[in-house]
Amino acid sequence: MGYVLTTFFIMGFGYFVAESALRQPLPAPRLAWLGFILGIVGTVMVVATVLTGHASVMFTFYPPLTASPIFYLGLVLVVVGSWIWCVLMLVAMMRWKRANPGQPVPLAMYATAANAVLWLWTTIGVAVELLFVVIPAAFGWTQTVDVGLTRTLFSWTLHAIVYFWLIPAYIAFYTIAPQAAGGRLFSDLMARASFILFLLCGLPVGLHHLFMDPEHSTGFKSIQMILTVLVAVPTLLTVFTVTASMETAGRLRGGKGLFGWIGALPWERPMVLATGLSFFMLWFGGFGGLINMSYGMNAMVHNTSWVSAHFHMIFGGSVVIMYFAIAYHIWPSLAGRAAPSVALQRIQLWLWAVGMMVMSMPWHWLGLNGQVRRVAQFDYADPSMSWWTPWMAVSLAGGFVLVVSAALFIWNLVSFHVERSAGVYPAPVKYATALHPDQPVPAALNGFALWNVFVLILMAAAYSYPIAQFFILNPPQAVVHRVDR
Amino acid sequence: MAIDPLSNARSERRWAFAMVGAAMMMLFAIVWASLSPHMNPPSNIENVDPNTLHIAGEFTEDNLGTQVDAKGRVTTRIVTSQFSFAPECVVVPQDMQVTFRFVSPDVIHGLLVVGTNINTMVVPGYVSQVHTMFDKPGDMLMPCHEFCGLGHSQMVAHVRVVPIADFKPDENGRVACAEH
Amino acid sequence: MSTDNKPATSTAEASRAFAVTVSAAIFAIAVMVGLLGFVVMPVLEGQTTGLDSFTAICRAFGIGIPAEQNARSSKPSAPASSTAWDSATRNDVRRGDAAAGAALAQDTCAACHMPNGLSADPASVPSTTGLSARAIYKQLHDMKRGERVNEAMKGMLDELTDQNLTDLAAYYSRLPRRNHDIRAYNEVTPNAVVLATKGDVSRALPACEACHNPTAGGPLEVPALTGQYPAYIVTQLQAYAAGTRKNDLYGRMRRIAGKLTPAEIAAYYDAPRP
Repeated sequence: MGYVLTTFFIMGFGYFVAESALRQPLPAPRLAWLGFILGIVGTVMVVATVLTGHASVMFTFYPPLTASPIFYLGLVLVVVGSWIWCVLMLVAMMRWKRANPGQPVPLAMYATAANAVLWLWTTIGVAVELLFVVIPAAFGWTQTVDVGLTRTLFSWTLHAIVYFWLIPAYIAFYTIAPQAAGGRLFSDLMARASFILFLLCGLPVGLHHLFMDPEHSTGFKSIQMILTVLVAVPTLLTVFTVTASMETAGRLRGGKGLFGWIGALPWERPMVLATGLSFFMLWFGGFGGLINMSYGMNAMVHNTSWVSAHFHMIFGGSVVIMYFAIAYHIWPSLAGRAAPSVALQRIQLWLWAVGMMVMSMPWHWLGLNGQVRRVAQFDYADPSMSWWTPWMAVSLAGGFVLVVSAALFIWNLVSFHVERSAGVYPAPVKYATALHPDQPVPAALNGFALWNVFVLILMAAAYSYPIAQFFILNPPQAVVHRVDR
Repeated sequence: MAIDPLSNARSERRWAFAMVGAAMMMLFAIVWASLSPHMNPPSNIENVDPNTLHIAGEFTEDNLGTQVDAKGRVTTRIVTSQFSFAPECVVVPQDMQVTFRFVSPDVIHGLLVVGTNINTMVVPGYVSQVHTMFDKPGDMLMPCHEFCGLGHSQMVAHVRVVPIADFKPDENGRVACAEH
Repeated sequence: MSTDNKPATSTAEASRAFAVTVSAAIFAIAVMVGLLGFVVMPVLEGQTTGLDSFTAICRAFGIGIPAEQNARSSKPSAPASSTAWDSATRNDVRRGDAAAGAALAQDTCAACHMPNGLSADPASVPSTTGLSARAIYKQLHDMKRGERVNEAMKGMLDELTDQNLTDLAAYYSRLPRRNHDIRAYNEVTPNAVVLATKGDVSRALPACEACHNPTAGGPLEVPALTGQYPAYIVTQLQAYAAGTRKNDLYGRMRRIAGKLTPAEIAAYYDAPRP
């Protein structure tokens, strides 16, 4: 779910932004379709092997457990499809820059291209792991796996991938929500800076998933922890800029006083509502994340439901609710008619936020009390666990609310096409303009050359020895354990 | 409504300071929390061949469990394998430093004991070492917390903390859970 | 990031100044992160575990000795099984000669194990079909070394070399699995089915299937039990429970069998046999 929903959504949204923000046709749409088909074929391969019990290794692989090669090849196809998307995004941006010399690239496109750059860096880790270690083992060409190496390579991808998922939500915060609320973007430069900071700080931090691993030393764990703290910077930048943009909108609509602008916002619009709900969940998820990334405190929560709760809140809550809102926002211009029922859209968003809170909150608490994750059965007769049962029931209820919400989301999109609504043909999607549109944009914030150099330096500092040590120390390897034959 | 670009810049700058301050506070809190409670996550890069663990050396079957060495140090050795802990119950003394050493002969496992700093991955090829001290007696659950295969959910062990008076090593310095 | 509007002519200059300032800032932050991560934190953490600063910093870079070199135990112990999956053994088993194994099986094994790998006496002689070469090799090797006690087999195996064992493992692992009537298992008592397919978490009993299903991905030497004779499974569980069979790695099967009640072990036996 994590890989498939996000990758397809991000690809689709990126193509939409490239056409609507740049006002130019997408370069090589056939290649885009090829990427889509590769993704679909890959997904079918993955799902088929998982459902037939040939890939019981979970989506983080856990070598030396080894599944059918079809499972891994399917994942590779999905990633290759997304690489095509990355290249198309960068080509689209470069074409636009050539046609408009000296002009700043529209923010939505700049951020989308930043995400493409981030994703290309991110996938290196898992691609190397799959192509050079796991797939040769799955085909039986190699008998053993260096487990520490595979875990380290996977950690390279494991954290930055969530920023790849997150950035579309941030694009909506910056470029769509202020417009939907009737305001302006507070600062275009701040927005660019925060996307660049995600690119810089999002990558050299993956070892914070391996704090409790025996194959890395204290120093590399520590520096990656400190770099993780720096991710708070773009998040706080976003909180400020988006809140300020919303405040502008509220005041333009007549809101007075210190907080009066909040009430004056058009909460009946799904994009505004989703932004509010998303920010709300971001606080809880962000707090949980601070605990996870602490070198010491991680010991209380590593591999417990706390971690599941954290990423459900941040990703399933804050991010996915923005995916919904984006879909509602762009669907009218795709379908060529207005939404049949905005009220149903609002209900769906509310259900999602409430369901996510109800489901994840008990997990935080139970995780802190030792409920481990990825377990199918607990011994509820054990006195240390018996009190979990009511909380699990609460969590389950939240899960049902989420199912209802997801079904309603699908209906909300389908209804565009089945109900003959009398809606007027909607205006094309517009992106928020900055309060000071004439502000000059430094060249560095209109391209990625400088930032790629820094990513390279940071990744070399953070990952070179942690990866090289497996070739220097040459640790004993583990024998492949097949789960498919 | 006109918005003055200078006031805009001023609030940006103020926010930038607040933000850097917040990040520094988080950093301080996290560094402090990492060091003060002596969590000491397992960062001892210590290799051991997973395929010959049971043949000779520290992790042979008869050498597992809790042992007090000549210097009085308490070490508990546990092998995590598909899908059980060996031994499934270990005895440790209350209010004494205990060193846990975990190894895996097959795939990745992990474990935790609630309310302690015992939380580690067990990666084949490495010894995961954790130092801890238990402050109250009782049976504590130690489940496997990393997916290790189809029997993962049933992989559970217990740590039995006993007061020092009841912690009686035999002539080899060993203490084991009584059968029951 | 100020909003001071500068004349357009100096835009390029401002861009350059911006890049230089940002680069300097990033380098400064990187150096501070490095100092904090490789010096300050390891030294402070080292103090709590009694490491001197130099050792702590070396260890922060992953260089140097483990925090504590633990004394090896003085107690000598014989391994429960001397079969180990080092690369030599894995390669030997993989390169076993099935044709040589077939000839040997005809001469030496067929009297009890029949040419097709089935049993003449299911309570004491297992089906040797449907097993991996590793599973067969492990048991042959252990019985030859006396780690699994079986007088009849030991007598035969004393005559055989290690190469013979890998050849036999190659031959038997290629035989078609014993065909048994799955319908008969529907009659097995429900409790046995639950134990076999779901296990019992309250007793830390994993499902039998978690290892013994042919595609389970359990330990390397684990035998697939689909198609094994119920009577044979029962005798082996009883032997593990009694401790008369103990060539399982780290006592896994001894623990499992010890937790099963005699009735649970017999449940399999009581069921109508195919």
